[in-house]
Amino acid sequence: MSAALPHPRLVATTASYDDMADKAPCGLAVLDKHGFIQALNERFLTLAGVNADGLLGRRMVEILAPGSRVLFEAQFGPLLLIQGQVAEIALDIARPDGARLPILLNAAVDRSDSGEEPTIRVALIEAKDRRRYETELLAERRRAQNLSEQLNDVLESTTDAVLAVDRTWRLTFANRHAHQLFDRMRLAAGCSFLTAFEAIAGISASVQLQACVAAGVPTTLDIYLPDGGRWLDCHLYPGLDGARFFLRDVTERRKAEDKLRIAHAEAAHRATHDALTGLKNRAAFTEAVEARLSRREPIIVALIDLDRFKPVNDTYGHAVGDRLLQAVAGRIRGGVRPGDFAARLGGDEFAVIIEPQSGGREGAVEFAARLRNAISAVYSIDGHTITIGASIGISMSPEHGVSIGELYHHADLALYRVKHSGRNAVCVFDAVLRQELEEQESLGEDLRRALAEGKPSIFLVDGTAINGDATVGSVIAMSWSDPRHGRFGVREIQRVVCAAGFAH
Amino acid sequence: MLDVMRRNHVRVGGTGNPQIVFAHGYGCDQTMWLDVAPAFAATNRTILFDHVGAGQSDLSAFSRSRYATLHGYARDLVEIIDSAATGPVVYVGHSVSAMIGVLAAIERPQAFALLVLLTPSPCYRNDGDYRGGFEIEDLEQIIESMDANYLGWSRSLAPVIMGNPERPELSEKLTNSFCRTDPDIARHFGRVTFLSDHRADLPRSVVPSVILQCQTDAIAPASVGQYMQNMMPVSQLVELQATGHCPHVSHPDEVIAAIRHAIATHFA
Repeated sequence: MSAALPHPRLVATTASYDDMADKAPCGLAVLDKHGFIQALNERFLTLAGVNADGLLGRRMVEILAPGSRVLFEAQFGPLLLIQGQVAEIALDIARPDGARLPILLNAAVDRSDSGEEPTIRVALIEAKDRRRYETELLAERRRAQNLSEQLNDVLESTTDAVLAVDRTWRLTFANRHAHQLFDRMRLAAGCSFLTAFEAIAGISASVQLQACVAAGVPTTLDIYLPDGGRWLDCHLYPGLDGARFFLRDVTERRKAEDKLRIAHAEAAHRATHDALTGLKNRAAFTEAVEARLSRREPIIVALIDLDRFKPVNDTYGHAVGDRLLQAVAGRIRGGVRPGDFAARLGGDEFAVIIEPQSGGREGAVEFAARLRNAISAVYSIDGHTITIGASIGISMSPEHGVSIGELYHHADLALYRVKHSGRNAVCVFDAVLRQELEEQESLGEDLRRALAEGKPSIFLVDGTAINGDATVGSVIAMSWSDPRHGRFGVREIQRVVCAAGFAH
Repeated sequence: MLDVMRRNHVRVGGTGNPQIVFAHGYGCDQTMWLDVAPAFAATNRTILFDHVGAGQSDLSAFSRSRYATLHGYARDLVEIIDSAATGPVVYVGHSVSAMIGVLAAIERPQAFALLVLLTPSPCYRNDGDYRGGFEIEDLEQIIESMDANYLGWSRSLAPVIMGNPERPELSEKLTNSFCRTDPDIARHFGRVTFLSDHRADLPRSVVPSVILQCQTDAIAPASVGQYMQNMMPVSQLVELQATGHCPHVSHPDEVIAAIRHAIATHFA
C-alpha cells in the first residue's frame, strides 16, 4: 500500500493561494453581510471594468445593471442571507463604457466559528455565449409555446373529438370534445386509449381500429356506439410515433341520410310498382320486356285478363273489388317461379314474363294453365264467396315478334280468342291467329279505302254512323259489299274495325 | 365559499393586540419575515400570508385580469384581514406590499390602525422632477433578468430554487417551498409591480403611516421616502441605519425595534 498523499492545502503557501485567487479565471470577492466589497481579485475588476479604488468599500449591487440590481436586491440577496447560498444567478454587469456583460454568480455565506460577523464569498463567471443560447432558447420556447397554444385553440374549437396515442396506445392528447365523448371512461393522461375505446365501442370495433392503425395508412371508420345508439366517423392517422384520431358524431347526419335513402327507395318503388297489389306496374313490365328483347333473349309474355271481374265490382263494391285484385296478385306472386316477372298492367289486367325454362312452348302453356287454375280457385273476401276466371294469351319472342308492340299485340290476340271462345283458358298465338290477323289487316285496309272513296253507305258500330271522315248520325244497320271479300254483315265489319285499329 | 386562508396560505401565530399583518414584497414569500415576525409572538397576534402566485398560495387562484393591477392584491389583503383578524390591524408591508397596504387602507380605512411601510415606493420610474430611481428601459431589463433566471425552470422544478440550506432552523420542507414561484406569474407580478404608479393615491390615505427607509437602497432611493412622507397626510419618515432593500432580512433587529417603536408611539 502506498502512503496517503498529503492534502494540497498542507503544502501550499499563503502566497501561492493569493496567486491562485488573483489569476483565477473567474471574478472572486469577499463581501460583508450587507453586501459591501471587502476584497476582490483582478478578474473581478476586469469583469466590472473598473479599478480597485472604485470598488472597495462599495456595495456589490452597484456594479450591476439596473434590472439585475433590482432582482438581486429584492430576491437573490435576501435569499442568500436566508439560505446561506445561491448558485447560477444570471445577472448583467453594467460596465462604465455602457456595455452590459452577462455573468453567472455563485455566492455563499461564510459564518466563521470565531464569532466574527459572517462574510459573503462571491464568484462570477462571464456567460456571454451561454446567455445568447439561453435567449435564443427562450425565444424558441416562447414560439413553440405560442404555436402549441394556437394549435390547442384550433383543436379545442373543432367540434371533433381529437385524440393522440403513442405506439403503446397510451393517450398523449385529448381535447375537450374527446373528454365529453368518453365521459363514462375518464381519459386520464397516459391511460390506454384502447381500453377507453373498447368500453364505448366494443371489442370488435377495437380490433378493427387496431388493424387500421397497424396497416399504417390513414383510414376512415364508421363506429357504432351501442350505448345511446350513436354513430361516429373516425378518421385515423397512424404515424411512426403512434396515431391520431378525429372522431365526429354523425348520428344526426346518418339519420337524415337514412330518411333520404328510404324516401328515395319508396319513390323508386312507387315508380315501378302497382300501389294496390305491390306487383310491378306497366312501366316496369315494359322496361323488363324491352330489356330482354334488346339483349335478344328468348321471352314468353302471358297477358292475363280476369273473367267476370266487373260484376264483382258492381255487386260488392270497389273495396271488395280491390281486395279481390290483391288476392289475385297474391296468387300470381305465389305461382310464379324465380326469374319470372309478374305485373299488374291496370284494371283487371295482369301480365307475367315467363322465364323460358325446359319445356319450351308446352312448358309455358302448362305453367300458364297452373296460374289460371290458381286464379280461378274460389275466393273468400269479407265473407263473400267469389269465383272468377282468367283468360290468358301468350306470345313468344323471337317466334311471334321482336318488338314489344308485336309481342303485346299478339298475346292480346291470343287472349281475345280465349275471351271469344268461352273464357277461362290459355291460348298461345299461332299460325291460325296470324293468318286471321293478316286477313283482318287486309280487310281493314280495304274497308279504310272504301270509306275513303265514299263507297258504302254505312254503318253502325256502336250507334255512331260514319261516312268517310264525317260522322253523320245514327245508323241502325249497315252492309258492305266488296268485290274481293264478298258481302259483310254488321258483326264482321265490327270485328274488322276493331282489329284494324280504327279509332272511330 | 372563497377559502381565503387556503388561497393565500394564511398563517396565524402569537397572541395579543394590536394584531400585526406582515406582507412580503416581490420575489419572495412570507418566509422573508422569519427573523422578524416571531419576535412579536409574545405580544401580538401575527398574521402572515403569501400573495397569490407566491410561496404556497393556491396557484390556481391566479387570474391575469384580477391581478392586472395592485388593486387586485389590495382586495386580497382586505379579504385576508376580514377572514383572519379582528379589529383594526397594524399592517407591515415590504416594498410593493407597502403600496398594496396603502391601496387597501384607502379602500377600507377602518380595517387598519397603522401602516408600517418598509422600503416603499409609489413609482419606480423617473418622471420629471420625481426620481423613482429607474428609467423605463431599466424596468424592462428587470423582466429580461427574470427571464434569464427563470428560463431553466419548468413549473415542477420551480419550487426548488436553490438547495442546501446552511441554516438548520429551515426545515427541508420549508426550503423546498421557500420563495417558490411560478415563473409566468412571477413575471406578471414583476411587471405589475415595477410598472405601477400610485403617486396619485398617496394623498388619499388617511390611516397613520410610518415609512421605514434604508440607507443605499438600490430599489427605493432616499428621495422616494421623503416624497411619500410629503404626499401622505398622516405620515412619519424613519431612516434606518440598515442598508439594502430588505432590512427585515439583513437587519432584523433594527426593523423589529422600529416596528415596536412605531406601535408604541401610535398606541400611547
